[in-house]
Amino acid sequence: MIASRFNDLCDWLQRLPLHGATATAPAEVLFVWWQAEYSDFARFNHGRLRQAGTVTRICIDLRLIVARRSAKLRLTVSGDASQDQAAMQTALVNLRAAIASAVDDPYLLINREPASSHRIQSATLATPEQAIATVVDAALGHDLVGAYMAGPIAVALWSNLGHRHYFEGSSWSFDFSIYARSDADHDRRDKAVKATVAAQDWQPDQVRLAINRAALDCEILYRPVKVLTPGSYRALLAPAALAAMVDMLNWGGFSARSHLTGQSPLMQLKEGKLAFNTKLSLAEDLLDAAAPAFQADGFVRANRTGLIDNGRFGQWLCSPRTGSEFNIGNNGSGPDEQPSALLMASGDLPFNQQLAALDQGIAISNLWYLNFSDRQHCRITGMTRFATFWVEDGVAVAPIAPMRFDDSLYQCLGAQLLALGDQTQWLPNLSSYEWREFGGQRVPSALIAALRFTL
Amino acid sequence: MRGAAGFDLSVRWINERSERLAVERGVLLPIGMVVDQGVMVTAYCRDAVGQVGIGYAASADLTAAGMQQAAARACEWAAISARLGLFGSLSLPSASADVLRYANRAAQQTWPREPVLRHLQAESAAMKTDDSVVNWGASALLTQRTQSTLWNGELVAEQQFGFVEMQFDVAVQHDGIVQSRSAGGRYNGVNRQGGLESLEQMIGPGLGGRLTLQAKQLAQAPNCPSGTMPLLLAPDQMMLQIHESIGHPLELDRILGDERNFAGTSFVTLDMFGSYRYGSPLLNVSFDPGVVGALASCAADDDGTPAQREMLIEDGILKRPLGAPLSQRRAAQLGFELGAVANARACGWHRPTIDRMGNINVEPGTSTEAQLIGSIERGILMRTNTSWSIDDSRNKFQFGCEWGQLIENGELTTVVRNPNYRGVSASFWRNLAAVGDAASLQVHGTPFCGKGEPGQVIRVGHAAPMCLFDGVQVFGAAS
Repeated sequence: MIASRFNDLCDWLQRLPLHGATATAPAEVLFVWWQAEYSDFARFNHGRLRQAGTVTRICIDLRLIVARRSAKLRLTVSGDASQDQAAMQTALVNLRAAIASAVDDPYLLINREPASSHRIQSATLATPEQAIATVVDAALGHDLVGAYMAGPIAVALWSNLGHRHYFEGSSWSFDFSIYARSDADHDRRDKAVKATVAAQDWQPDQVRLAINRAALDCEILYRPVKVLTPGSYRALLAPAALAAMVDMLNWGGFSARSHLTGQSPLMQLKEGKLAFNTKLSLAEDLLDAAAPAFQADGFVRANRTGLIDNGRFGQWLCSPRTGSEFNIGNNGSGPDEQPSALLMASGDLPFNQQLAALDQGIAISNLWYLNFSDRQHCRITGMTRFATFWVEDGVAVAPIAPMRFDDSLYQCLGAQLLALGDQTQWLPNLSSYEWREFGGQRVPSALIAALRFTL
Repeated sequence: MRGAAGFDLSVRWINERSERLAVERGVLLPIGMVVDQGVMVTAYCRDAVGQVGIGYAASADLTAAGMQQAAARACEWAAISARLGLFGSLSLPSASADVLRYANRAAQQTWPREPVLRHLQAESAAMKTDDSVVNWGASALLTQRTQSTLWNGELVAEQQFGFVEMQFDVAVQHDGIVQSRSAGGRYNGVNRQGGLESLEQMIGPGLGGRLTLQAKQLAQAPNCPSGTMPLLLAPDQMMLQIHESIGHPLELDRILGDERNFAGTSFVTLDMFGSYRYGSPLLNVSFDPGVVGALASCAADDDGTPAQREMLIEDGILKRPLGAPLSQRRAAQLGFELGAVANARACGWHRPTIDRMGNINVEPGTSTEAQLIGSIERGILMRTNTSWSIDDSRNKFQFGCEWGQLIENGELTTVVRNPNYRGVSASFWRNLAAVGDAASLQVHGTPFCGKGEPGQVIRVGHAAPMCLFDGVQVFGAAS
């Protein structure tokens, strides 16, 4: 259904009269970036439905280019063809006016080679009633809080140079936490186990299973809380916790522009002055994550780009604009120069021997609210969150109160990295700040000899 | 448009236009414009056994058929909510009897591009003094928003906003050390409701050159020392301190547990209001939608509740949460009768309202800036946030600033780089030792307050004077 909306738009755009080349001006080039979502959102609190609804939204970015001048206008379309076509005609008038008063852009770079691709990943999704009833029934007796999101999302690109790319995926996700009941113990009200289930086709049994498993994992949260003093501790990071650490590298770590303007937290890695542990290899893997490879300038990036190879800097992500400005080759990255799908190589620590390998220390399921405390040295700070346990003799014995860490990734993923888990976990990108997103991270667990806690 | 029998409908219509102008490393970027319009339809019902349900549907299809389709979907969700939701027999908030109107003057003006571009280009050029400047830029996002809220077809609020959000930042490299300096922070730190006249007020003359000069000072400055000492925070860092460790913990939906899976909970509990000592007796915090120019000033929230000033903390005692009428009634169900504020807000037509900050301000005290600095034997002044991290109950925090300057024997002395500090909200505000007077008060805010499932990024305002805190753990960079 969504694809037909894009096809209708393309048909209209093909007939749209753009200005051809004249003796004084080259022909107009029009790029159209199209984005759509039909999403159901449902929030739960205390095991019941708190807030739910449906968002239907399609936006198009019209980007008009004349020689070295361009301007862009994002338009929310209504779905009513005549209204939308009139709005796009008005947008073109505004774009032409903006270009008339613009100056030449020395770094404008578009791909003039025609290209096309088409992919639709359809799915059988639940009705709102089915999804909500499944969660509420399974949550009975538990203090469950979380969010269910479902529906198709799509991005597409059209240009009058011959680009026509379409990428659509349907999926659902249920990201939730089960809290230890706090009626009797004030200290326990912040203690919870968090889990995520996500797939294409609706799988109610997976939801029930995940809730039951999280509820069982909650049992240990009822034990007395162990309070740790600040200092360095041996730590086992579950995949979600390691993913949060690695996510900080997206803040300019792989961006060519960030490196070339002195902003990247990985400048010392790129320059070869520092290195991560040789166990660490990271790649952007678009196939694994089912994420689109095309971008708004008409370029298509490789399905796999090695970002860190055995602890050393691999390739950076370079947008056409950055490549043009710094006179280097671009690799088809979007303007944010961030990987949309991160794959970390697994290690050799068997899943069922992780706690034994930790022996004594902290098992951390999630980290929270990370930020740089010293960007140049890739030093980050953040909090433990959700199920975090003190482990003695390879057995989790008590929950610990939230702790703040502050350490350099060159340390905890460098000399202090003892092992990576032999299994990776897929963590879909559940960000929904403007749209639901494609992509995610696939990471293993990590055993760290010393992680510095400060508060 | 009608809901099914037995359903009440509210409609929030939003039309927003914006334009982004930017100069990056001396080059004018292509102009980016946005034209956005849509509606959020919310349905309310009470089923046969008295259970309340609420559901929503957001759509940009404003045809009669499109609106009717959205209403039907919202009613469908409301019916599910009545059966499987958490509201029980809650009494629903009612709409305002009077039509509430708000119009910021900038919302009705046409922004001339040329003067803004001239400002950006001039400041950008002033930043690039030599090759040590490795990155520099200036941008402006100009937004005009018109929105109306209707309750069962009757207009209850009509508001027009004009926002200007600007960014000026520069990075300097010296002997391998890179330091950045910005106006108010690197994420649109200069922001205001207002028109062109507010440009001059916000940035003043000579901004670009001043930022480069300060970045050069920082790049050659010693590392911030470590230790426990008095900390004097400027208003552009107080903004972040208020936001993270007063604003978020007082959000009533957090306290009620709605955000525990994502944005987090709060160390504040329902039983604390009216008696809990949040800060020293010098701490007075307001929810004030009437501050001229602040990002969240308005006449009504996005549900149409009349917005008025309320005190959240008085003389250090916690008085009132940031809870809209729906959350207030949920707290009442639990036996806690708390005052409400008009803070049901959404980032756009495509998101439902949740409890948010509006303008959350620390009220000025009596100390002049000279008195504040003069009172410190050995301490530090910090300006302009650059790093923020706080636990999910909004207690253990660590914040970093762009600019640090030691205070020795009552005088500002050495500039230091990478100043950071950490603390715990529950004790930090009790160590508030002095509050600057109105002369040191500045209106700041952020357009990037994130929260909610689905996620929402919203504008909030924070006005504050300089404030002095005793016994704060301060530290610097790795080397």
